[in-house]
Amino acid sequence: MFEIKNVSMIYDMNSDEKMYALNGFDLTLPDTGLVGVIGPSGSGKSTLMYCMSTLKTPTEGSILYNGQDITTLPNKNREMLRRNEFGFVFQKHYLVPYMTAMDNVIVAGTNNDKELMDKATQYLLALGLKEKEFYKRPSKLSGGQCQRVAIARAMINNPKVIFADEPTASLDHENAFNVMKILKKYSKDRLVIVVTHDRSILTDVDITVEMWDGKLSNAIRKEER
Amino acid sequence: MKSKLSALKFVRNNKKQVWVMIVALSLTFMTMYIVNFLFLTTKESFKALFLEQPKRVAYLDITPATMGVEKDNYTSDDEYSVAIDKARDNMIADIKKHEGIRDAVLTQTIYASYQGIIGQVGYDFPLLSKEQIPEFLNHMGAKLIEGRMPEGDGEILVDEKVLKNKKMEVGGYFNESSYGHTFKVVGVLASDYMTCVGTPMGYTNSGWYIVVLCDEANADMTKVLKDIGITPTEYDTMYDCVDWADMYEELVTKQLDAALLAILIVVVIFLAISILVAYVSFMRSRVNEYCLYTSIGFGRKDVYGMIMREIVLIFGISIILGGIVTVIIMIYLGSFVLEPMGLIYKYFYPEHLLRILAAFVAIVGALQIPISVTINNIKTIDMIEE
Repeated sequence: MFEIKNVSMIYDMNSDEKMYALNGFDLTLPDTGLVGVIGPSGSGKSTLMYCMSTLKTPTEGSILYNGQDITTLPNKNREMLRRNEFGFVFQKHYLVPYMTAMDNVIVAGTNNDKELMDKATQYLLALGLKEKEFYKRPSKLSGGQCQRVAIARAMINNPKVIFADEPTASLDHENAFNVMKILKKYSKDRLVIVVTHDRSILTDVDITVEMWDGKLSNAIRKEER
Repeated sequence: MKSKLSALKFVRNNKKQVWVMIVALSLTFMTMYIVNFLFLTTKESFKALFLEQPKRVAYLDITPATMGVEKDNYTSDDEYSVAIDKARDNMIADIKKHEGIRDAVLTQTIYASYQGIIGQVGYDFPLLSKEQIPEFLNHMGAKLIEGRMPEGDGEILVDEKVLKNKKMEVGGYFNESSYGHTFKVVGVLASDYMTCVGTPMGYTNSGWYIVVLCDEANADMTKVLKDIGITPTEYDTMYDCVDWADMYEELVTKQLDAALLAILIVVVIFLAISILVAYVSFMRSRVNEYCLYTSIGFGRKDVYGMIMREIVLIFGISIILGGIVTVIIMIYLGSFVLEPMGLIYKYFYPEHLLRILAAFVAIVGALQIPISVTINNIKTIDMIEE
């Protein structure tokens, strides 16, 4: 699904000391499976995720998604791709504070509201929220509940790829494993890319991508472990 | 596929904020229209006096020189006085013969004032013999609806609106600027021209005029006089349709329109500033929301569309609500304030309604500045997290 070829991302292009967030990065990912991207802070894992999801454009190299180089796509096509094929879970939940949990899930939806509500109900229940919590605003939900609402939002359009940046950072251990279980289930017929620095949540991933200084340090498939 | 970000979600979930905005806009709409309504009630009421009455009656005070009587040609004041009377009688006879002139009579007048919501206007009405009054009423299309016709000296008939305006009733005494004479109101008239008429009693300070009963086509007294060979000068007094129309334009239309425009501009400026400040604060509190939308695949155009739909919804509800409140207040003012004051009013002024709506559109236009700044500064979440 993804073919990343010699991708570099340089910040401060104009300064004498260029800062490489990604440096000649190569990686190929399949259509399905749970991929864990791990590395210390500043290793470039979030930048990699943002480049793959078209939020950022790499300075060099190409990223092929289903054979098409997405680094050269016009803005409109990038938006369509993000909206129809990708789902996002960010480090913070970024829920809209005045909307209920239900509205926060369906706000990203591309179907009609009735279908979206049925789907949102299904995801929220699967993620462990109770029905009475569906109509609470984020301020009345715990951090963990908010993050689960954000995961449901990412899934609402049934995207082909979910990008999750530290999705369990604000969750306790039990909830963190539950979220990973859901993402694992979702990854059976979809691709889920989880960026984290917490190795303990990556026990069940299909591919572990280890990064160091903007470079691929190691890519281990489950069967190779 | 759903392609729009819903404006309803913000409106539905931020009832307090949205209602504050709606109530403020509705009250502004109402205030603007009610101020218009009251100002224009004055204009409408004065129109009957300034523009309609002079189409039926004119008042002339022509100097002897204009009539061709020069003092230097006479050896005594008596001779001069007789010559003036003769020239005036001849002039009146000629005016009467003019096409479209029903009658012309030299008579005293008295002064009546009429109070608008803003400002006051004064006008003269004739003091005629009781035999002349029915013809005058007939000419003015006035009907006696209460009381009786004048029978003795110093009795007057007053238009119902003027009577209400002066808070008087039949049997009351009308003594405005009449050298202390009191004119007794003996009857009430219904007329389109605020007609008043009475019988004389001693001298009043409004003087003597030639009262000309004319039709609309011959209400320009300069033309009438020229037709009979008299050319009026700046020293002659002629209260006719031309003179009153000029006064209406100068004293009523220009001043009220200027005041209305000034009020509208001040209100719009203050409203625009308040709304801009409120919206900047609204949008600042929603920056993360906009960033989320662009990150998950909505374009800036989608976000702009959502903001504009929210604004149109809020402004639309405000205008409808403001319109309903305005109608209720106008009906109340009409029935309990303007009607008892004897003022003429109407509710619907399309030109002024359009002006207010244009002001609202201009405010929405002004909102494009903070909206554009916000839209251009929207980042995606990766930029925020960095």
